[in-house]
Amino acid sequence: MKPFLRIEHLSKSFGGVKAVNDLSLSLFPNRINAIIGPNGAGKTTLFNLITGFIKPDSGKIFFDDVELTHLPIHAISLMGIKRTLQIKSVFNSMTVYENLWITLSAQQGNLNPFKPIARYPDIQNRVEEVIEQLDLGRFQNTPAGALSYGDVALLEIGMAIITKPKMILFDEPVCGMSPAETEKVVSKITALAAQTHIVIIEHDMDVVFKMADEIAVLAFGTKLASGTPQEIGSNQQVKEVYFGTDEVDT
Amino acid sequence: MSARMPYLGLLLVLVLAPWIIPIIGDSFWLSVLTEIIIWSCFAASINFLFGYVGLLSFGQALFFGFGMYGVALGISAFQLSFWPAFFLGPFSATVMALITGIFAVRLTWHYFAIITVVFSLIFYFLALTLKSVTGGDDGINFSMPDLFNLLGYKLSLTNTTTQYLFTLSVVVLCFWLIKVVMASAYGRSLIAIRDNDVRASLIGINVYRLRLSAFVIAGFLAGVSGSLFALFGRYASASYMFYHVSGEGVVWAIVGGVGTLLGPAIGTGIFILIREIVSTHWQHHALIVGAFAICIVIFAPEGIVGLWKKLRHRPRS
Repeated sequence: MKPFLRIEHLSKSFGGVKAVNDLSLSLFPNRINAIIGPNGAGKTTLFNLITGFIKPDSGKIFFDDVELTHLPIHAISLMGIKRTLQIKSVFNSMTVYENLWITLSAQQGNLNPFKPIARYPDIQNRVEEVIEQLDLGRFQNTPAGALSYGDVALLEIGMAIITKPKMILFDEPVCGMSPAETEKVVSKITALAAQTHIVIIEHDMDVVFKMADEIAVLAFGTKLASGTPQEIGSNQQVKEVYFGTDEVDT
Repeated sequence: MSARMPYLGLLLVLVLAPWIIPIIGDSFWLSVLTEIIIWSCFAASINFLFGYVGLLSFGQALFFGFGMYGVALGISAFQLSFWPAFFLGPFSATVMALITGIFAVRLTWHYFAIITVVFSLIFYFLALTLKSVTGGDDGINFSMPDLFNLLGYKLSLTNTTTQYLFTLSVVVLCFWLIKVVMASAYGRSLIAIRDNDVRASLIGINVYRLRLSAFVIAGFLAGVSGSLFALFGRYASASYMFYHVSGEGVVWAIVGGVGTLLGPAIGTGIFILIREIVSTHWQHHALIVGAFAICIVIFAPEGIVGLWKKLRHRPRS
């Protein structure tokens, strides 16, 4: 099977700290891929590199054999690679409806300054579809800034899926959520796996081991191990580096 | 239809102003109104950047100045007739906005504000130095060519009513354009950038290019107002390129309400009226202007239009 995401010898340093250090990693389709690792292991840096927020010092990133390494953020997004952020990030002054609308419109590249927004029936239909799918109807006309944390997270997922992307990167999707909200988000993401490649970074081990089909463990910016949740759970090295430091941390 | 009524009502009053004003007062107020309308377009230019895409420019006077000199040099140096000269003003401002924008919109927030001030200072001092071309602080005067001259029927802006109606048409057209543009996918994209530029780029918006385009549009608007002002005063002067002028426009836009269509016009109107009324009695009129601006910023941070909206939508108990 061919990997959809291929990372080759990727390195990125901040000052003297090697956040990502000669990392090579391949992710394969039809499964939920999780990336775990202790704080500072380079997980978010890796997402930042994939989505173009920062440029690597060396190494290459390929998505479906297209090299992403030097593309700007918006170009990577338009290729069908979407991302949610650790700190939830939407357009606060816009309503839920408008947030979804502009997301799809941007993917289509609509910039005609003389065509009123009401004249895009295809966008309108798709927005209504997503609102229904995520059960956001009650908030349709609420400014996103007035939503609860869990609902912003749902909106962010809506914005990730509305364009029918090829890959979604979830950065700690259930961070800071109540158990009920967590369950809701986990089931939404699990359902998405049938339509798109999914990669998640997550701290909550229960969530990771429940959701993921394949786990890659990062430590000190490099890959320590990868495998199924069972393999990772019984890997002695992972236990030492990851769970060991985790206990010290908490 | 009901949403359009206030706009149409306002437009009707403005169109009839040359005939209403002589009835209720001195016709001097018609030229004050002309000035308000011209500067409203300038405040709209600042609002277009700050209110719609989140870039606070203190350099719009640069493009106002280019608009002014475009017209003035077009008429006096290049011997152009009215329309070519009138297009040369906004055109040179727009080109200038594109050139400076390429550098300026790489920055945001205070860095952006600073670089816009720097650009406008550079060209201000350049204009002062090139006295042979620009006339420096004294400026250059020109005589007004006819608006048109058809089979002996002449229309010229030397007539205050013609001048007023011409200015009004141009500025109304500009405001209408802003309204149309902001109701499009392009306008929505600008708002998205203002709200959250990181998320905007994550959904595939080319933030740099859109900011640059907004900067160019704002430069065009400032250029239009500068051209109109040149035709109004029949002169151009480097002093209008000073950042002091930009700062006044920023205050007008903020007090009126940034991010709203008519806020900048309302802010401009209030401040110019205060200036005209108070300055004849008291030379320190700027003090009132400053105190008023501070009060608005503290008590109605969304400006007068924002305050009005809030009061109107307040649920009745």
